[in-house]
Amino acid sequence: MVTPGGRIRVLPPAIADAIAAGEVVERPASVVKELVENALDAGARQVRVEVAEGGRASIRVSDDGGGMTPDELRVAFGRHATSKVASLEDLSRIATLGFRGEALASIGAVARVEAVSRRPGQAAAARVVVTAATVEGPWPDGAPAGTSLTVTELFATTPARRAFLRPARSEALACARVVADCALAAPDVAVELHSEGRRVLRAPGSGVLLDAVRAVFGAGAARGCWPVAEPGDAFDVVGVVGGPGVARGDRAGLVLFVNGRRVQQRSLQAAVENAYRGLLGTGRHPLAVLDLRCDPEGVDVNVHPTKREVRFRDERGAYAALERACWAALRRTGGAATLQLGPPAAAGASSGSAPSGARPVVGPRPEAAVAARPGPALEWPAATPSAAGLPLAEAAGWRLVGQLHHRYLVAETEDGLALVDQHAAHERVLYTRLRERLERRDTADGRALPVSEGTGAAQGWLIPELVELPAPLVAGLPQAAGTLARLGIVLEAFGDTTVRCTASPSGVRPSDVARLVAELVDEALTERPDGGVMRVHRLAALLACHTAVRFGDALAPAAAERLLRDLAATPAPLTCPHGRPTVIRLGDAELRRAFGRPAG
Amino acid sequence: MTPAVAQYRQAKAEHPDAIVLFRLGDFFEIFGPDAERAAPILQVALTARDFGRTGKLPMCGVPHHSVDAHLKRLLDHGCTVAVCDQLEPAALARGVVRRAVTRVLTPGTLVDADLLEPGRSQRCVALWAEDGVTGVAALDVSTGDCLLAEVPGGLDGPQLVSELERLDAAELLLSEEAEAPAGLAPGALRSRRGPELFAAEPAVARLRQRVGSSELVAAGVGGWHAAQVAAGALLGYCAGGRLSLPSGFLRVRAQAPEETMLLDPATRRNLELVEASGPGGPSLLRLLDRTRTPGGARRLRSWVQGPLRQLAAIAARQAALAELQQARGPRAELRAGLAGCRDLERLVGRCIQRLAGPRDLAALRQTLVRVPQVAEAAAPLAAPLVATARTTLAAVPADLASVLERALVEDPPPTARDGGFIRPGYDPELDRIRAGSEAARRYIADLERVERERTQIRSLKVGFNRVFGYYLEVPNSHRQPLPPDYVRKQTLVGAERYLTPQLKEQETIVLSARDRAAVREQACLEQLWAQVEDRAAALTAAAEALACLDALQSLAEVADDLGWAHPVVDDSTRLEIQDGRHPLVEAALGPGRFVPNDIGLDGAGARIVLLTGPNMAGKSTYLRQVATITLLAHLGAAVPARSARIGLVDRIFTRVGAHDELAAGRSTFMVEMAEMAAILSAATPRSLLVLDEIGRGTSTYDGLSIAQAILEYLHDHPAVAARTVFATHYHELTALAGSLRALRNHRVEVVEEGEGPGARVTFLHRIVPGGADRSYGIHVAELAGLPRAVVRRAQVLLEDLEAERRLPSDESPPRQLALPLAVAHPVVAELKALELDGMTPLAALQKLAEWQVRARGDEPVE
Repeated sequence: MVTPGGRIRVLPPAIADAIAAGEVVERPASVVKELVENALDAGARQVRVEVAEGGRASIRVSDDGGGMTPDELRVAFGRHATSKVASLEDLSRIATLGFRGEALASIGAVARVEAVSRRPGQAAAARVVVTAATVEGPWPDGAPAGTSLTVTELFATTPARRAFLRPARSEALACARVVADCALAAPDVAVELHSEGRRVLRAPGSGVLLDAVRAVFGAGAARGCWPVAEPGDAFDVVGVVGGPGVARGDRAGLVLFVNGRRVQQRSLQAAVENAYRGLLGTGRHPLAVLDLRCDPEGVDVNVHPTKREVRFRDERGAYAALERACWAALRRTGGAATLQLGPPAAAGASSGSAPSGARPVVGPRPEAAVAARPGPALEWPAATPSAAGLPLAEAAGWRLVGQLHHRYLVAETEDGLALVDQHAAHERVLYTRLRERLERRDTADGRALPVSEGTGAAQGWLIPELVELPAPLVAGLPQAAGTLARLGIVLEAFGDTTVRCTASPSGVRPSDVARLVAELVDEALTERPDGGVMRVHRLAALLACHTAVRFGDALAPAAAERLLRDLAATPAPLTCPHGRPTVIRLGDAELRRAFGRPAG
Repeated sequence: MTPAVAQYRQAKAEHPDAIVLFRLGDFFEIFGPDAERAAPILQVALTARDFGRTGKLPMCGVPHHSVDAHLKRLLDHGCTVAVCDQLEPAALARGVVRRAVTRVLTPGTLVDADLLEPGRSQRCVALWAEDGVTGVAALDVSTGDCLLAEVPGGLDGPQLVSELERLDAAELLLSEEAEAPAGLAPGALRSRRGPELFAAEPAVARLRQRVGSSELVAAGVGGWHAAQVAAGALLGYCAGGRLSLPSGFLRVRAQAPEETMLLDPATRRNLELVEASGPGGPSLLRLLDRTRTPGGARRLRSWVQGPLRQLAAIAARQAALAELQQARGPRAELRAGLAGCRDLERLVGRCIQRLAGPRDLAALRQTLVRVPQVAEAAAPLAAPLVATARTTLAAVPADLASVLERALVEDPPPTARDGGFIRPGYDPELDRIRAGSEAARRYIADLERVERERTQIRSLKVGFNRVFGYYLEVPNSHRQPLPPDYVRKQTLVGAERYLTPQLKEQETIVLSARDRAAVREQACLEQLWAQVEDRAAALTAAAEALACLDALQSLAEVADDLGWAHPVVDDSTRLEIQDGRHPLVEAALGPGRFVPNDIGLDGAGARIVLLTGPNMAGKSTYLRQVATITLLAHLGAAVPARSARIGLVDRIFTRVGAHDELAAGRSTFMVEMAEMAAILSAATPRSLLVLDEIGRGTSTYDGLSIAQAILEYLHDHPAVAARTVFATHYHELTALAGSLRALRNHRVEVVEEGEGPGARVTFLHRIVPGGADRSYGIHVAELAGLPRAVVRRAQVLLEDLEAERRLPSDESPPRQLALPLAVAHPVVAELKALELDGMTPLAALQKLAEWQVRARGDEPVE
């Protein structure tokens, strides 16, 4: 309540600190972030984080880094006290994560902090207790080398802030995200998180990014990732990208760093997602952990109080570098599925292995014998030859052997065998063509353009098909007519809730027309937050799926060969629009291994 | 005497030592002294019934459907149990129901999965002592693993006690004439049999018959006569218990005493090897156990109980574990593959004992399907131990899995009794029975329609009741004549019921098919058992390989998880550890709270650490962690330290913590001295001694003297020149560093602020070089909560005592209780320096008088 006639007064330091602290310390996760970054800057090899009630009750971060002397402990909690910068020039060359000298002061202003620290080589540790920015101590204590900070009573003196804290579970989740980011940023540091007494994360600190990815995202995700190492002039990109098989339904798998500092920058995220276009189904987001590295002078990190966004001197360069690196990695590995047959030969195994070394490929339990894996499962960097992905343009040179069960095409590749899922492959071909058609500027009157043969020519209906649609869709039909016409569908309103379809692409079965029309109209009319970018994709994918040859359709050899050639000519031919593989290849080496033959 | 009582008497006569469970109705009853023994164990009420002329007969009972749980309890208490069950359903019996003993169970000869702990073996161990050596034969009936060893000494030898602890003996088989001390495997059942079972020649012959001589030699036991006699006795005992041990299943292996470290029961307890000492936390085994299969858990347990002593074996395990620790991807795959494997070893055992049910075979099938997956997961690993296991797994014939897949349905029922577990298409005979039954059923289902047409009686019905079975019912209102094959059976008010011979025939087929199918399925089951038995050797080898891989991945997983490092193990006499931690205490404290400590014994210069300082500051933990880290190093595993270099240790002795054995009539001090005696007689220059507070249980001077004498003995005598960590509260002993050159003083660091009773004392939990100069006992008492008045008074008394005792020429630092030490008395020094030539007799006498005064003045005031 403002007292009338109040005068301007200088705030006492404690209150000033608390206000300033509010910028840095929003919630328990901010405390965790600051403390963990301090630990990393102190050269720790092990960092342990324990939170109770999501951090609302207590947060404890302990590390085995350089530690602090008793004097350092005493002054560390004052404002603008830092070991990270000493001059303004330092500010433009920031190599550490923390630098403002605010973190500990802020935390000490809004919580109770107990800090125990010992430098290696000293016998005694020192302990201080900070409440409301006043420091008590230091007293001697017994502790391992390193520092441990316990933060309790967070926001006890600012009840308004405390009331705004989310429930324990949400805060715990935020803390977990922060710790996971730190683990991914520093794969050579062992990072652990204990929540409510249970250990929920442990990154082993082996120096291998994949181990950290495995710890955070699980073994299944780690299996589907490939390395990225793209040096450039101004920007280097290092990290891992996951294949379509490990795509997620949310953006939590997209973890980006700039010079090791976690950022949440829309433009950079878009760069990565762009590189995946066409590889992922709708609503799916890639798994990617990438560090964009550049000269510290080329990026300003002092922009945002929570350091979540940064400013580049060369914004476009950063975007391009990131997108290019992802695209190159995805393309290089091909994203193709390889089939594992039989036990892989151990390094140095003698070529004349006994028959008992081979297993029946189709054993009593199918899932035990065959497992499709997206690429090399275990160690990298050297991708195995079979996964290095011959460019599929060479598929034009494949010799078609035949059609299998009316489901798959069997082709002879240069040194082995390829199996093509006829539906997925045809889907991809049609999808590409439809997208082109939709993205091309249409003719002035929006009529259906003549379509070439073999791509689902529009077929007129002798007896027009009537389709029931919800009224709003019928009302919006004029809007969608042009787009649909480009796809080869001609619709006209025929009552409040009925439309008449007089032409649809060939290949669509009469029984499918109703559903297809409903979906297409719905999609064409739906508001899209991204301004329609996804609409084109979805329409094309929908129609492609419905009109492509199905499992069970017999294909004449000429048609099958044409499909192969069309597939070879398609960009991004290795997955269907839904992300499933179109081609599985077995090279000579794998076949020989499966049959227990010596390597050729 | 009623017939039932006669049956009971007979059963009891056949098994006099066993507790006989006698089936009466829905209960299993126990009578007489058996009941008095069993009732408290089973926690059921002990009642009584009138018994003829002799008064009351105690009895107790358990319901028959929950008998397995009760059996387990009895067996865990070391009882032998004989189950006397009804052989036929009571309803069908004429006169008294026939009963007989169907199962005889002893704790060491169990095969039943419900009665066995998955994570540990329960072995039956036969002992035979001759010529100063005790032959040990330890058999795990559930897996066929038979371990032979020869332990020096008789049945009362100390080494035997260690061996039996290591072997998880659940039952001891002894000759009636043998005298075995009570302390030998106290939890195990003692089964005594007549000396004829142990007669040397028949016993050895029995063994040779089952396991050929060449195999015995190959296993390394060719010359071990005592062990062979014990093994033969064991086989005879099993034969008597109707246990089958076919040749492919029984595997004999030798355990040379030099292969594993000797750990006495006190050490196993102090280090919490397989059992936690208190309700607080896990045991070491529990901490290390991340196995995925019961076989792996058992293998890990046997590794932990028997640390290795040969450098080559340790190096082999280290190589495998180091590789697994880094290869996180393959390790994850390995864990996933093992998770689907079941207890292959014991499943094979159950097949061999003809006890495996349909679900057991399904578990076997599931495991066999997983075996290739496990082998593949292990493929990228190069270490020899892993590669050997993988080769074994790859050699498992795939045909058994196919057979089981063809034979068993997806989800078999729990018992074989009612059939329903064999797939169609596996057995032609069974298919025929089922087809016939199916045809008959269809015939009957169709009959109504067919007969209606045949007789043109619209209202004809086909029915079924329990008395007549199927029948044709024709209402009285019919007009048409009935076919000649209709035989009238029953007349009702409005209808008549008929049978036809064909109907009856089909009915018989249907009703009997169920039983015939069950019988046939049982025959198929037995066939499958036989097929498993035929491949027993390969399957048990595969089971061992799986167990080995599981135990390895468990240790690697723990090491990776907790950040442990691999030590260097060599044949020096070093014991160097940097930043060592106690794994169990660290786990209990939580992350980042345990203060690590070093130890540096280089074997040549420094061999004994004398550790002084206050209690509760971490001395005991330090001692135990040194021993535990050494033990872990001898498992080939990583250790909780930054780095370590450990020379081979043949035995670890610990004397930590006090426990009165008042019940046995021995005081703390007596126990302590007995243990020290055992240690001093058994220690070798390659041993590790970890001693805490020796001399505590007696008066100060006695204790101090004994402690000092022991230290000197350990220092001076080459036969016991072992690496030693000696913690004591007698800080006076620190002066020994002057005279014992291989002894190093260390203390627990303490920071003191202020003086006197108000001083604030902080324990730093750090071990630093140098001796402590005081005991801080009073501070600990203060921490414990003694009243301030008591503490203050104690402080005053301490200062007085210290002031009184100070020797004038004593050069030791202040505040040290100057008790007589091995420091030469100054008088002696003067005597040595005295020049006798220039002395007059009077001067000599004066000198003597002066010395006498000084000598008397030094005597402690009582």
